[in-house]
Amino acid sequence: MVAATTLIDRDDGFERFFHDEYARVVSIAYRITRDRAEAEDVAQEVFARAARSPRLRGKGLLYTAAVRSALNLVRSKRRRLVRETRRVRLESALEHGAGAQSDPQLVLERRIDVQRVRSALLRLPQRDAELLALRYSGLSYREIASALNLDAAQIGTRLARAERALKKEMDRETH
Amino acid sequence: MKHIDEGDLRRLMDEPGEFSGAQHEHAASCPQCAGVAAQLRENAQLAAAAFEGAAHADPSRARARLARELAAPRRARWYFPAAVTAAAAFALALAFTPLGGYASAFLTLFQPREFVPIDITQADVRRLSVAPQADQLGTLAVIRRQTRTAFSTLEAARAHAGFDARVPSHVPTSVASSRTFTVATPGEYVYTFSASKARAFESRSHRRLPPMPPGLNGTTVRVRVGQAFVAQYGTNRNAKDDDMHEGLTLVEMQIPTVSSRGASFQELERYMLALPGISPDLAMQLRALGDLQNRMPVPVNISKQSAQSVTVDGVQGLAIGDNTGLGAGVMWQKGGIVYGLMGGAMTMDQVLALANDLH
Repeated sequence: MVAATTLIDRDDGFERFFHDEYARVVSIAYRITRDRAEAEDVAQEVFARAARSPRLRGKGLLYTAAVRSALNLVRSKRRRLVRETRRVRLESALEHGAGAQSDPQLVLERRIDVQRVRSALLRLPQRDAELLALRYSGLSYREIASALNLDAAQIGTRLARAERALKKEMDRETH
Repeated sequence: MKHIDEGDLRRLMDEPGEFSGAQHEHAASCPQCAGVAAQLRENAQLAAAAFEGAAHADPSRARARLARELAAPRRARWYFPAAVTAAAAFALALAFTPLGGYASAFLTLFQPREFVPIDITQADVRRLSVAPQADQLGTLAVIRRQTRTAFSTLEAARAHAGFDARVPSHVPTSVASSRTFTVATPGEYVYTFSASKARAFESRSHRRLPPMPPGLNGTTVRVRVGQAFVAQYGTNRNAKDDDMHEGLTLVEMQIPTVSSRGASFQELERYMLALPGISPDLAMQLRALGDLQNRMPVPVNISKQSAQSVTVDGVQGLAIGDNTGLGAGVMWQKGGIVYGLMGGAMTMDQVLALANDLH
């Protein structure tokens, strides 16, 4: 507790880093989670790490951490939702007979619709998902290259490939 | 002029200032390049729609929240040995005789060949804290205690390991500064369920437990922990103001076994999952595991970690990552040895590369 308080009080550039980058980190996370509270949770998590470890205070590392954390959160939520759906369906079938539609089930299915576009993203290779999230959060090609440790000249090719893969996965979701 | 490649056509849409006038003219006048660009634009528009939207952020409020979080007492941070301990606790609680018909036999029944993630939420953790502890439902006897010996050289540790201990050919320079090797001898523990202890717990705590089936009273569970080899590279735990677990830790253990005499698996499972503190979702996940003889449940805190099945060292394993993308571990079983490798400030890719490079 003492160590953490001392860390906050110390003027080591963290305050400025936090205020300069917070909005962008939330924005990056939100584009993946589509939930403001969850995006803020992701931002809290990555900034807590940065507060404790000064060497994590590079922009690129921070943005990449936000994308990975948000993707992991969505992935975990989806696993839980699938299980919850199975349980509600089973309980519904037991209570009302096979084929019965209960309100909880309809509520769940609406939630799954919201998740559908996320699931297309989750099926992409991790690198493609990270690149898309960073690009559509407004990072320049140079910023993306720096965050993902790539050459800026490769970003166009990789982005085109990732967008093609996303379209394919979204088409699969639709059909 | 030759055609513009796909990557440059894509960048031309986003960052036209990066290209020359001649390139712009070609892109506008060449039917082939225009055709490729049209397809790229369509894909990009779809991706933009998938990611559109913005969230209002309030840095001042968030800064205050962060200050509260950093000043709060620190929660125990996950690291690999803790995950193994927790997994072993779950295995202990749940891996028992598969069929009541064998109840009187002494069976070796648990040999983890597969690791399966069990999603745990903060709410699950809070509820678990009110569950009765092992010593409130029975008695643990130490038959053979493990002893640990540290060695300064790999060769010396290998000579005492009792099996072919493997280490990565190369470790990152960030953790190569120090290395220690430890060998632990096998251990053996016996847990005996006691109905009278459970009753005493109920009257002392004024809490109701599910009735202990008659067959469970006196049931014994014997756990044999195999010989283990641990290699640690770099700093294991960092300075107090930084909760990063910076080092690299490799654990290799002869496969542990659990055997039991007494109640059937179904009786035991029903009783354990009905205990106070086990959430319905957690109970459902554990029931869904099915083959507990070969599958070890590994608790994963979904707000802080992610888990995925991976191919490692030529077999199926379970990778667990910290949600920030830094800090990752992988566990797998091969040739009768259970392996765990954890890198505190490493990405999943780095840890997997090291795990695939054991010799």
